[in-house]
Amino acid sequence: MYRTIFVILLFNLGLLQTAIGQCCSAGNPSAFAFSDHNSVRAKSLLIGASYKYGYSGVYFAGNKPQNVSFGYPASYSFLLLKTAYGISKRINIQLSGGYFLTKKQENPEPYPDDVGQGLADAEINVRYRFFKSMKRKTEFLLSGGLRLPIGVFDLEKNGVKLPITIQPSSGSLVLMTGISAIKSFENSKFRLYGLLNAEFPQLIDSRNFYYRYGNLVNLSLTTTYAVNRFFNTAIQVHAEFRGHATRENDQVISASGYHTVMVSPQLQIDYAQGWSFSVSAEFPVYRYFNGIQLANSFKTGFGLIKKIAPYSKR
Amino acid sequence: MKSGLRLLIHSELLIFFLLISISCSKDKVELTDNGTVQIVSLVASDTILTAWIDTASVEIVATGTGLSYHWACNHGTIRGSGSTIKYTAGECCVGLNTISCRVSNDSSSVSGEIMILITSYFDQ
Repeated sequence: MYRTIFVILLFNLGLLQTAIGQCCSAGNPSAFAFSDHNSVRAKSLLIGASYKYGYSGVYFAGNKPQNVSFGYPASYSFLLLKTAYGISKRINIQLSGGYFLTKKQENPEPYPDDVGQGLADAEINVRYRFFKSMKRKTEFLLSGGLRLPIGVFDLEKNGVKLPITIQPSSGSLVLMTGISAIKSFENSKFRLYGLLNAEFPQLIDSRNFYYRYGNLVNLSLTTTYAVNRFFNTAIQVHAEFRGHATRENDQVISASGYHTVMVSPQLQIDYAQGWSFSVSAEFPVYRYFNGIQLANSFKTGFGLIKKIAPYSKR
Repeated sequence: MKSGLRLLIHSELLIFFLLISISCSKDKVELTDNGTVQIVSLVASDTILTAWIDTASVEIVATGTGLSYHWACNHGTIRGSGSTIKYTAGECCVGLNTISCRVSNDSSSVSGEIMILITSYFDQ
C-alpha cells in the first residue's frame, strides 16, 4: 500500500513544476504544484525535494517558430521543498516552497544577463477524496489551495529593477482548484491518472508593477508502469491553456497567453526503505502563442522523497 | 513516535509561517529629498519605439555628490546602469510605459520618470 502511495507521489513530484514562458522569460515554476493527484494515507507524512531546470530558446508567433534577430534565450534552475500529510483517510494537506538558484534572461553584448535569485512563492493545498471504489479501483479527489507571494519581488541588480518575468516571486496571490482521478486495473502493472485544474492569479499591484497574469487551466493524463519492485516508469501528456494577461486600465496584453501540449517521460527508483528517487523530462509537441513570445524548449529535473509513516508497522 | 511526528509537523508549519512573516515585513523606509540632490533633466533618445526592434537611450542628469542611480520600468527591459541606460521592450509590453529613476546619495533622494510608447512589432 505504501509502495503504491510512493509511486503516486513520486510521479507527481515530477509534475510539480511547469514553466512555460509568458512573454519574455522562462516563466514561473509551480504553475500547478498543488495538483498532484495522489492521496497520502492517514497519519502519514511525506517530505520531498526536487530540482528543476527549464530552458526557453525559441520565439513563437502562433504555432510557428520565428527566426528573430532580437530574441535571446531564458532559463531557470529551481529547488522545491514539499511536505504532505494525511490528516485523515479523506483529507490531505500539502505545503511547499521553492527557491530560484537562477532565473535568467540572456542579453546581447555588451550587457550582462538579467539574473534573478531568491525565495520563490509558497503553496498550501488541501485535497479531499470524495469518491473511492475498491471494486472499480477508482478514486476521485477535489483540491483547493493558495499560492502565496512570499518570495523575492521587486528585485534590483546594479541599480536596475529586474523585469517582472525574472523576479523570483510571481508577485501575486494565486487561487487554485482542481479535480483528479486515479484508476487501477486488476492484475495489471499499469495505472492511470487524470487531472484537471485551474489557477486564478490575482492582480500584482506593487511599487513598480501593475499586472495580472492570465488564468491557467491544466489537463494532464499519466500512465505508469511498474517494471519491477525497484523501477517504475511513466509517460504523461500535459495540456496547458493560459489566458491573456492584463495591465494598467485593464488593457489586455495581446502578446500573452498560449496553449501547449507537452510530453513527459519519467522514471522512479525505490532504492532504500522509505526513500525514492525520480527523474523526469518534458518536451513540447504542440505550442501556440498569442502574438510573439519566447516558448519553453524543454524541462528536466529530479526529485528525492522520504516517507514517514510511524504507525504503519504496528 | 507520535510526539516525534507532531514535532516534525509543527516544525514544518512554523518554518512556513515564519517565511511568510519575514516576507511580509519588508522595509519600506524611504529617503526624503532634502535638496542636496536635484534632477536637471531626464530625456530619452526616442519616446516611440517598435516592440523588439527599437532601443531608446535614456539619460538622467542630476546635481549632487556621490550619486547612485536606481532605474525601474513597469514593462520592458532596462540594460546598463548608471546615469544612462538603454530601454527596450517586447511585444508583451505594447502600450505606454513608465521608466523611472531615483537618484540618491547618503543624505537625500529624488525621483523622476519618463513615458515611452511601445508599438506593436506587427504594425511596423
